[in-house]
Amino acid sequence: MCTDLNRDPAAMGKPMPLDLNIIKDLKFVDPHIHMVSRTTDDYQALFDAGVLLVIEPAFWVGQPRTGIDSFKDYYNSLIGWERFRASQFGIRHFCTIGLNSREANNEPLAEQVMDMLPHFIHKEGVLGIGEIGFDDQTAAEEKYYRAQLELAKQAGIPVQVHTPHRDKTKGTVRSMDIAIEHGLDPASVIIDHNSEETVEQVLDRGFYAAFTIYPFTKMGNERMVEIVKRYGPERILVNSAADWGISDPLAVPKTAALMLQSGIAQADVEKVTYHNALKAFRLHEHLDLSKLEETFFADPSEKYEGNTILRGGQQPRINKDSIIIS
Amino acid sequence: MEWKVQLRDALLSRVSSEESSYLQDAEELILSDYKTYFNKVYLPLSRQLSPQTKELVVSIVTSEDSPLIIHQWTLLRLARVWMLSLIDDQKVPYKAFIEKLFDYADMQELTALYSALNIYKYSQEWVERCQIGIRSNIGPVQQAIIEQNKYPAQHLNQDAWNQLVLKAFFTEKDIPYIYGLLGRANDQLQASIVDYIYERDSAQREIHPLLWLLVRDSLPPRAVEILMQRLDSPQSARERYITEQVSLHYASAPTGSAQQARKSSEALLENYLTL
Repeated sequence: MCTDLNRDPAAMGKPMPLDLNIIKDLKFVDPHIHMVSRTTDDYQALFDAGVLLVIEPAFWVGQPRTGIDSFKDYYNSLIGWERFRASQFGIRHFCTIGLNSREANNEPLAEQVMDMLPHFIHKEGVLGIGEIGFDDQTAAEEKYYRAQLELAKQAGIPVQVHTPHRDKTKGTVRSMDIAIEHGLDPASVIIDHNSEETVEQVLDRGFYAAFTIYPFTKMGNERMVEIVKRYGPERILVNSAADWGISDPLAVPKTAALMLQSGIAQADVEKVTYHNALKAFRLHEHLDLSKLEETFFADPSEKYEGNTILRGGQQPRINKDSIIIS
Repeated sequence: MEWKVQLRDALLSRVSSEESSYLQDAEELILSDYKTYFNKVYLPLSRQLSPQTKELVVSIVTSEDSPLIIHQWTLLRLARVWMLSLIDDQKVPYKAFIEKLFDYADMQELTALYSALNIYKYSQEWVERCQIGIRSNIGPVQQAIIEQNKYPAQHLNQDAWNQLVLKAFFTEKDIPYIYGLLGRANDQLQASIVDYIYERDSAQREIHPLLWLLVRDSLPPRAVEILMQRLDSPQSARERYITEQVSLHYASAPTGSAQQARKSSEALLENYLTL
C-alpha cells in the first residue's frame, strides 16, 4: 500500500537498461500483486516477462468500504472476474482473502466481514488468508488479526501478513509473536514487506520473508540483491505489491535480471522469484505443478478444442506503434 | 430418473477409491439432511478431489430426454452438478438454499451451478438467475449457460432468449452449441441480426456465417446486397457454404428445381459443422 512519496528521484541512481533477454528462459511467480488495480497492458507485460502465476491478496482498495456488500463483491471479484481476466492473458490467478488492517478499525463492519470470511476461504483459487496484520497497530487491528489467525489455523491454510510502514520493526516482531502465541507454524506464515531491519529475525524464527520491490516507499531491487547475497535464497520471496500507486508490475522479473547480472546463481534466483512462493503458498495442493509450464487456458476443456486459442493468452494485441486503432 | 444413475456411475467410475468413498458418504449425508450437510461436503470438493482427478475432462452421451448435455465438463463440475441433483425440498427453502450457493460461488462453482439450471426443481423459478448469468462477463460462466444447456431454450421468454443469442455472437461463443437455436427463431431476433449485419458490414468486419442462416428468409434488399458482395470476396469454406445456400433464395429467377433442392436450416447447420 503506497500512500506517499518520500524518496528523492534524483537519489535513485543511474538508470540501467532493462535486459529481459537474460531472463528469457526463466519463469516467475509474483506472490503479491493487486491486479484489480492494473490494466490489460500489465497482464500482457507480465506474460511476456515470464510471470505465469500471480497471487492477489485482498487489500484496501484506496478508500474505505462502507458496507458488507462491498466486501462481498470484492471477494467475489477476486475468485471470479479477476481470475478469469488473468486467465485470458495466459496467467494463473490465485488470491488470499482477509480483512486488511486499515478496515479492521471499522469494528461494526469488521464483525460482519468476519462472519463472511468462512464462506470464501475454501473457494477455488483461494490459497490462504491475507493480507492481514497491523497498520496503525491499534487494538482493533490486533483483535481482527488474532481472529483471522485462528480462522487460518482451523482451516489449515497459509497466512500472508502485511507489516506496517510506521514502526515497522516493532510491528513485525509483534505480528510474529502473536502468530506463535496462536500456535501457527511459522512455515505457514509469510511475513511481507520486509526490510534490512526485519529480515534476520523473520528468517531466524522460521517464517517466510517476503520483500516488496516498490519504487520510492519500499525496497529497491539493488537492496534486494544485497539481501539475497547476504542471507541466501531460503524462505525469501520477492513480490511487486503493484497496486493503484506508482508501482511496477514487472518488479519480480526485473529483480531476477538484476540478480543474475550481479552474479547470484540462477538456481538461487529461481528460488526467490519462483519456487519459494509455490512452496510457501502450498500451490501443490491446488494444481498439478507439473502442468504449470504448459500454456494456460481460461477453461480446461478448451485444451481439447484446440486451435482457436493463441499461445500467449487469448487476447489480441493492439499495435502500440500505430496511431490507428481498429 | 435414468440420467441421475448415469451421472452417478460416470462420476464414480472415474475417481479413486478414496474419492469414491468421500462422494458416497457425501451422498448419504445430503440425502439424510441436506441443510446440515450439503455445504460441508460440497464446498471442500475441490480439495477432496486430487488436482489430477478434478481436471479430467468428461463427455457423456445422454439420451434426448436427459435434462443435461455433458460435453467436455471437468470431473469437478460433474461432481458438483451431481451433488446439486441430490437436494430436495419445498419451493421456498429449496430456492433460498440454491440462491445462496450462487451468491458465494467461485468461478468454477458458478460454471457448475449454471450448468445445473435444467435439473433444479421448480424450473420456472430460475429464469431470472439464468438472465443474470447471461449478463456475466466471465467466459466459462457464460458458456455454461449459452452452450450445451437445455434450460434457456425451454424456459426463457423471447426477449431473454434473443439477448442470449445476440450475446453469444458478440462474445464469440460456439454458436452451433446453442441448444434450440433454430427452433426459437423469431421476427424480433431476425430484425436485430439484420441490424448487426449492417453494423459489421459498415465496420468492414467479418460476418459470422450463421448470422445469415438465422435470417435466411427475411433479408431486406440492403442485406441481400451485402450477402452478394460477400459471395464475391474471399471466404472460408464454411462461410462460402452458408452464404451460397442462403443466396439461392434470393437468386433473380429461382427455378422449380432450385426450390425443390432447398435444404432445411437444420441440414445446412449439420453440413456446416462437417466443413
